[in-house]
Amino acid sequence: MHSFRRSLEAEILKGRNSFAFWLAWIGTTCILLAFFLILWASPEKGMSAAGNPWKHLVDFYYAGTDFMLLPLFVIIIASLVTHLEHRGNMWKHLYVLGVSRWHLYTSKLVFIILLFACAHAYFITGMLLSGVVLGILQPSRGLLSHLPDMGQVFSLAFKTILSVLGLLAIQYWISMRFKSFIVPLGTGVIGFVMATILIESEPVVQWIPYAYPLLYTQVYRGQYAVAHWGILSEIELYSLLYFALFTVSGYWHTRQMDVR
Amino acid sequence: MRNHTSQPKEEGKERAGYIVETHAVNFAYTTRQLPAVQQLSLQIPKGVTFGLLGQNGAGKSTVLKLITGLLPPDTGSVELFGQRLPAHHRQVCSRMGILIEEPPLYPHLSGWENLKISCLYRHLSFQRIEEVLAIVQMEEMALKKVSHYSTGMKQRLGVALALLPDPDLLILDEPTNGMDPQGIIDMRNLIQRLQQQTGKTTILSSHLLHEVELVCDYVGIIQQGRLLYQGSVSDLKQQYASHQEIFLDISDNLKAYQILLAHGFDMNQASPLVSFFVPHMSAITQAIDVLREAQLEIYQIGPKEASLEDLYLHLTEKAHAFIS
Repeated sequence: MHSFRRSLEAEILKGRNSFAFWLAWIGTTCILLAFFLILWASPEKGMSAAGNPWKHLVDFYYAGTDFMLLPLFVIIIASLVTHLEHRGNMWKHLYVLGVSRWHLYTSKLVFIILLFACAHAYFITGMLLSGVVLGILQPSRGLLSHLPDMGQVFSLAFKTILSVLGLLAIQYWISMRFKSFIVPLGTGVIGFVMATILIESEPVVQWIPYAYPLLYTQVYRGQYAVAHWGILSEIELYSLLYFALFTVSGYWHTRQMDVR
Repeated sequence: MRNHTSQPKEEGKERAGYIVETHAVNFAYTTRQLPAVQQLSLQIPKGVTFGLLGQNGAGKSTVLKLITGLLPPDTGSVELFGQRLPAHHRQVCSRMGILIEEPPLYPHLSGWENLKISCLYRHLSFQRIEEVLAIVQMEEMALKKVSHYSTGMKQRLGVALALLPDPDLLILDEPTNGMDPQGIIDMRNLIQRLQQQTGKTTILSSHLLHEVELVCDYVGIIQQGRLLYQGSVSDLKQQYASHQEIFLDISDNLKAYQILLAHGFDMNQASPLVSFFVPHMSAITQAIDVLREAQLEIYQIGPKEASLEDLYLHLTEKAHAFIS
């Protein structure tokens, strides 16, 4: 555990000021800004005549990000984090340090998840702050007279993270496997396009992990019927299964990786 | 080709005296390619600065990767500190510091942060960072981003990374690659300083023969993946004393040249001075005698010190002729 903690600390240090780090913050800021401008320019959007106005605001933000932005965001972040090692042929150096490959593989994976989770926490904070600002600028929205439903926010955040884990593990594995930045990016874009095309094809799309960030919001809104196991829907469960499968195969590949 | 091996003076033939031992190692990158390393049996004694010499593509980096466990041999065995590789790779890692090819640096981080990453992986105290920065004399630049470093500074930081675990074995692959003359001198001074202050075993691969001659006491010469020689530089010179070149400063160069040639001496036609090769030292007296008989004034006579470059060329040309 101590070795893993030090490996993770090294990953966090490497990630600081890296392109992936800045993309996570600047990208999220841009998304927040774009949504804020849409809502500010169109007061009818993200609003409903009845119920807590925060619920509609949160739905509006999540509906926009989950399908279009999350898969692409994960694809780029996973590629950038591993590219740091490929660029200077750092694997050779890391392997002669005698670090366990399991710790190397998992610490990097955990770092990507942490980076994604932190960016998402920043997204939630920004979303709530922009709700307050919109409440001040447009009192008719009624945002200041209600409190946000934090249960809804945390549930969505939790399910968002679960829904991207499958594609994150796939993208991470591909990024580890191929030195070129283009291969994981290209594969990710193909997966994303396929998910978009097949989104209406119910029996097929539920096997495509790139579609899960959209499917879970559809499940959340009751537009897509799936089985549930406790708090997990079939979609989140599949995402976790993909995550486990590709983490194991990714580690197996890393163990065999030739650094000549 | 004969593999000349001289034993280290203080260590003798004891296996424990060798930090690196390989036995008949063969390695090919792919089955379709010629082997990159053939029948490599290398012994590197403790405490020496060992220069691995060879042209580009001779197999130097491959040998270093085999020694460090980055490559598994196809046949034969590699032992480091008496432990077989790759089976005991993890155990020996903490005892070696390596700089292979490019220094492994993250350009968006400072020199200090790059060292900290290695410390985290190696479970070392961060205090060690200051110590290695002092050794490579980079304390002042440590907080600058690596992307702003010159090639020489990057290489020095690479050496600092290799020194972090205070290794028993330091492996530097072409540490002067891409450096300007001042950078090369700085690196040479650093290696010499390390040698004097710490007495670590250092393996240095290079194609800069002059640099190797200045810092290394032991060498291994490799060509097309085959080891042509390993041993001390002085032993190498001694072994090739039979090929000693003698130069002369004489009153009539042309006459001296003709006389010596007529007496069957092996004249060096490429030399601007009168010089000839002797098979054994008694031939020098013989040469003086014939020149004095011809009433020639001899102002100076002496052996031309064979440089490592001369010996290297001699060995590799001989090997090339043997192979062809």
